[in-house]
Amino acid sequence: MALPSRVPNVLGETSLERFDAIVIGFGAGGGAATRVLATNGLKVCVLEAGNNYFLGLDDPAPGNPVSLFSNDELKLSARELIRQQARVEPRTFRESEADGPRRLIGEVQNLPKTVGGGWVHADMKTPRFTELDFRLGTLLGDVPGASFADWPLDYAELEPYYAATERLIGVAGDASADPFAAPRSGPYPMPPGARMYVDSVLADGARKLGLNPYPYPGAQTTRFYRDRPPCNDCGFCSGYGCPINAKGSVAMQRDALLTGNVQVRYNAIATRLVTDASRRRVTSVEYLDPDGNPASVSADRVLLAASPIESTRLLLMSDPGGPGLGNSSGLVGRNLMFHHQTIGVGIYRQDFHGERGKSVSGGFSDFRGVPNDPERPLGGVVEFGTNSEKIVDAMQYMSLGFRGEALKSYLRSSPFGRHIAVLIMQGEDAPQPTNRVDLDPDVKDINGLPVPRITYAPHPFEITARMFYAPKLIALHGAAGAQFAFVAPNYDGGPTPTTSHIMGTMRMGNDPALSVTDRFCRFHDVDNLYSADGAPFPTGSGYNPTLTIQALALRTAGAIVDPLRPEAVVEKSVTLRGGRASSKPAA
Amino acid sequence: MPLLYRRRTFLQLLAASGAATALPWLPGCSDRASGGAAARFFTPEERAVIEQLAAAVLPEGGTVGALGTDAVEYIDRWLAAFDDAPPAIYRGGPFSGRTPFPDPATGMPSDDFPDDAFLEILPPTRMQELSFRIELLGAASVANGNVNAALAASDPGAPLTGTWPGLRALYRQAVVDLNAYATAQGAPDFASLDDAQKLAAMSAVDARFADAFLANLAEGMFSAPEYGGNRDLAGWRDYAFDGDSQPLGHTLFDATTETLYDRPDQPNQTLDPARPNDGLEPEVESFVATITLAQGGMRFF
Repeated sequence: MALPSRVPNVLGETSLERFDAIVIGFGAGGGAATRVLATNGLKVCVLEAGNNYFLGLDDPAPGNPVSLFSNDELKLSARELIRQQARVEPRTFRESEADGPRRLIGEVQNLPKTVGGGWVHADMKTPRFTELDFRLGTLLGDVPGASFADWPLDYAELEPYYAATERLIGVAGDASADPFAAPRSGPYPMPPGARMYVDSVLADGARKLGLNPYPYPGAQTTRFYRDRPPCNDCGFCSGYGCPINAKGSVAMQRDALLTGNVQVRYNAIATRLVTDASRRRVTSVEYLDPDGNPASVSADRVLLAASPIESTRLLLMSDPGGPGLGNSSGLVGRNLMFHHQTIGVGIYRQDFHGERGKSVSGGFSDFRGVPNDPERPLGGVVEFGTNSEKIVDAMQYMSLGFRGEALKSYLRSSPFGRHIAVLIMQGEDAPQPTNRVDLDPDVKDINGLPVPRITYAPHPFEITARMFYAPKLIALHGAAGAQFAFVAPNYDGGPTPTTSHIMGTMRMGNDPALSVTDRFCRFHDVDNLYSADGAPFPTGSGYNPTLTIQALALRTAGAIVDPLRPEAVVEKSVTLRGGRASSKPAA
Repeated sequence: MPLLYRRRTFLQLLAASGAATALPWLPGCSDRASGGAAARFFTPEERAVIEQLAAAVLPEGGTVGALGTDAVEYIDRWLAAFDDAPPAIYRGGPFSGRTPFPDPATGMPSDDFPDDAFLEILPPTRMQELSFRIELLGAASVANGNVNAALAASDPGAPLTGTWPGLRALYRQAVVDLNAYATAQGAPDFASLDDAQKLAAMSAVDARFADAFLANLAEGMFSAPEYGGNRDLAGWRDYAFDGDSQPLGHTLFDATTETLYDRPDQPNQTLDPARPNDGLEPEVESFVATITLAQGGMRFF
């Protein structure tokens, strides 16, 4: 057989029948892990719940893939082409058990389900975590109600994987611009791109306050890079798949597919991990095929990369009536973290034309703070943004009750569209055992499967940071020339957090009583099961998580190939491209 | 230098990738005259009532309103989406042809425009089709659409609790109720009400109708015109929005010098003097001042 696949709902090598690994979810983490496994000769079957909108992703001919995405707000935003749709796959939410079974049935932190996962809708912000982020258990000590823990690895150990990820997905940035950034082994692969007008205005304000704004590192090309054209700042970035593949959303996936060692079954919804009698070994994965019929696939090992919420759901569905597969610690689903965003809104006289640019092209790290310093509590990175969506803008004024000529005044003035600048602080969430994912006892999705229930309330840790930094966000807007500034209500006024940053639920650690996965993200309880999304994070940092998800997944896959030399495996893998895979047989 | 934007139409791409055989729905479904969506939902009488209400929500004059953008035409097609095959839920990509390819060397606009892939229709997946059958035709229209019916008493508006009637039924009943409201006011018909009375009527009928109708109006005003609204791009033009810009985008790339620079007509990095940069209309400004105060914020001038 030859690439590309001509079989509907299958990408890659359709003739493969025996697999060394199954990867569940072809997003940022699953794509990264698959790339390392496949370039080292392992045969991989990927199950992806969503559809594929990159035509020819598995076609070696130049010019591929061809994107079916477009600058189409109706398609991507209003009609949710790639997002999980609550009408058929609702989730439930409660703040605590005091709410009863649930407070809400609907949308809770829904991520895209699609080939490329959340990295497709992302605007590709790729800061690294810093040295401190891996040691907060030690640095913070006991924080009541929270469960801060050190990572079982440090920044120095992850640094080569960060560098590899940046090369593979193509990150643009300025290595000298952020004084708070961790040390790097080399420069960014590309220089920064064009900076949005709103970025220059807010950066000026930040400098007046003595802060240190910098061009935000991101995986949009600013040069020709590995067959991708330079980003042309179309403006439909956050929430949109890239029409010209300037975003590195599926760079890892394409490399993996072109080895010929990968078969991706998409529109395939994993429903259960089947184990042998010992419960220490997964033997197969059951799923619903694109028509909704039951199917299954077997392999020597399984990597969970469906996002912390969906991966947890799968472990719990795999042990009906029990505590969940791999859960002797009782910690599966617990220590769920989002980023507690604090959003400083500024309304300015000038028009920011947010439909031009990368959604975010600048920010600063000064508010990330220092552990145990009451003058600089641990907050998070601050992004400079505005609004780029016209339908969303119009609906805001309609929902405020304006009609007729008044509504038209609002549409023309567009205070929360064309004149808005936002400072978004990605505040670190304290990990809390009580913030968790389990299965809703009653609610089912359209396939009759139990839906995930999110129980989540913020900890005083992040509320303290919010209270501390909120006035500074307002002051920054004043320095930048805003006419009005205020802090948006918690969760932007909604009932639940909306960051799309999802971490924890299978924290990694060396002690099986205190963690779900080991230092290479393998389950303590299940010998051939690994976690390859944001689930292993013991803490969530105050920086966008996806680069770290990918770096960690590269390392996990490297350790599967060679437990003693994962770094060498990944280093070698970086230079391997599609069609030139190692012929080394699977271990 | 790699080829930047290879000019290939959507169908050529499919043929080249071998996907054409796997996606047999595509070649016949592009109807350029009608944008690929022929069916309509409303009766003439229903459409007249919805248009009258739309004109009250977003009247003409100065800047364009609901009727001038064909927003009701957009709604009429959307409600009939499943009367066509495949349903026009998602349109194709990557380009509409409204901007040209950049010159591969200089980055400047070329005279080479891509075909309009927005005229194509992407078929929905099984899950997407279920989702939009529920949205348009109601929870009872699909198997398992009422899987959580036991919870309907406590949470009637939640997904899959079985009580959602679908947008078509909601619009159809709303027209009946709007007419009945007019009759109760002693008016001969809905058209005879003034705009304030029409808006009062909208508030008096099933609240789910107003929620959906307002959202659909916003979509019809400001979505890509291939979906049936935003006629002649008037919604984007009159409310200062660039719309879709690929494959040209806003940053041009000079491959010889590896320099990125702004389009002179639509700058990204600087203030655009062609845009309204003189603040908000007075009543909008005073409302924003109120919100700012309520949120404990600051007014700086």
